[in-house]
Amino acid sequence: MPWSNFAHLTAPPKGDEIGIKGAGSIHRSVPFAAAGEQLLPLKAELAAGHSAKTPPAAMTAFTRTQAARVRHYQVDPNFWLPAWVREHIDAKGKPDELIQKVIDRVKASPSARSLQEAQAVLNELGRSAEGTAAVRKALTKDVLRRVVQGGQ
Amino acid sequence: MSLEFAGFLYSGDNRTGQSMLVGVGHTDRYNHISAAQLTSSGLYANIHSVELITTSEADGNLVLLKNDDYSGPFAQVSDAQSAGDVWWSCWGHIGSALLIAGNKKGTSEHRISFHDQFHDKWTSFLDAKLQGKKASRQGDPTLTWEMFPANVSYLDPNLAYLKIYQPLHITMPWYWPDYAASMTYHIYLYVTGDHHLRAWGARWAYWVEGGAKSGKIADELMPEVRDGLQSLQDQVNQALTLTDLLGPITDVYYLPGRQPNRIATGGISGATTDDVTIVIEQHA
Repeated sequence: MPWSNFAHLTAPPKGDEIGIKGAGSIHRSVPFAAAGEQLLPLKAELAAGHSAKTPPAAMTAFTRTQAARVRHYQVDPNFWLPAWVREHIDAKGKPDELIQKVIDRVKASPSARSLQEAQAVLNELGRSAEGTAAVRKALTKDVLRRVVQGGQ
Repeated sequence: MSLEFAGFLYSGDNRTGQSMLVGVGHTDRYNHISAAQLTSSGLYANIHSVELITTSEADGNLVLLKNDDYSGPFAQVSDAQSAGDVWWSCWGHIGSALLIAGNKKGTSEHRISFHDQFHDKWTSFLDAKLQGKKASRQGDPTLTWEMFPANVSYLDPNLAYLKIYQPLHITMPWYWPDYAASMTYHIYLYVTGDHHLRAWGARWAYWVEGGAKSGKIADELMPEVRDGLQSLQDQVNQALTLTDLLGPITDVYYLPGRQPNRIATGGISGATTDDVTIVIEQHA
């Protein structure tokens, strides 16, 4: 059987799961009945190609709207702290006061820009356990929900 | 409204250690967090608790995946819309993550299993095609997904695809040992201007085990696989016409594994090779 040479690459991984414990019921996604007959994909390919036909205009239009609804979280290494943050630091303000300012700004003016700014500042603070604790202390459930709902 | 939902990834258990605030923006569907981003943030293979915060806008789904390319073993935690702030401990190697907004306000959803819709059609279609040929099906296909493919030729890294992987057995004459081979197809589901769900055959690929005969086998296999893309697309579209009975469709998105029912608040674990749940969205 030629596939026996590749069995170690195509068998479902054992003891390789991601576990979760917490809120609500945790279920298993049960593989279909014939899963025992299934060889998992090898990465190897000899050649590939695409359809010789032009995609329908409706598909092209749909892909444009779909791609616009996908974000890829990425820290901007060139993010420059806004002037108000630098002023807070120069004035030797405390981290928890800065977090409160971040929250107040998002609530006052909820927008993609203010949220991205808040995300960048909070994630910079969250790079340490102390920063995470400060963020969690300030971002209570109610505050977070108001932030998520755009200041309402 | 500014966000569909938000969440945190933590390096420590019980929401401690380093943290990363993440979320899905209003009207967005997916936010994917790559292995590179997790690595540079110190969270690659180092996420031990997660938290989700939802509003009345949508259900929040956070999918934690073993592999760097949004595949492999996964655990999904979900927070029902308006459920608020909930958290989970997690363990295992997490190489990539996906945030998916579902059950959005003003919509209704219908779920179908990629496997249930397609498996039997595929096997009978392929067995008929391979009748009398050297190639035969080696077991069942893997019906899975290819999410935001960063390095897969002919695919758009901003889009989500369905993937069919079929191992093949190539029977050789005389005493030559038989060969292993495989064929792979990628399908893109889209909603037409008149609100029907349809498929586009986006990509084909094949592989043949290395050996003195692999070039000859590849020469015979390649045109079959290439030309099969159109036949496959026609087959899938024929199956999808059944979804026309649901009425106007506004969107389609995917969840990993087999999730016939909405989780609300809770979790599910498995592997992306188990199945793909195709969620069809309509106006409520």
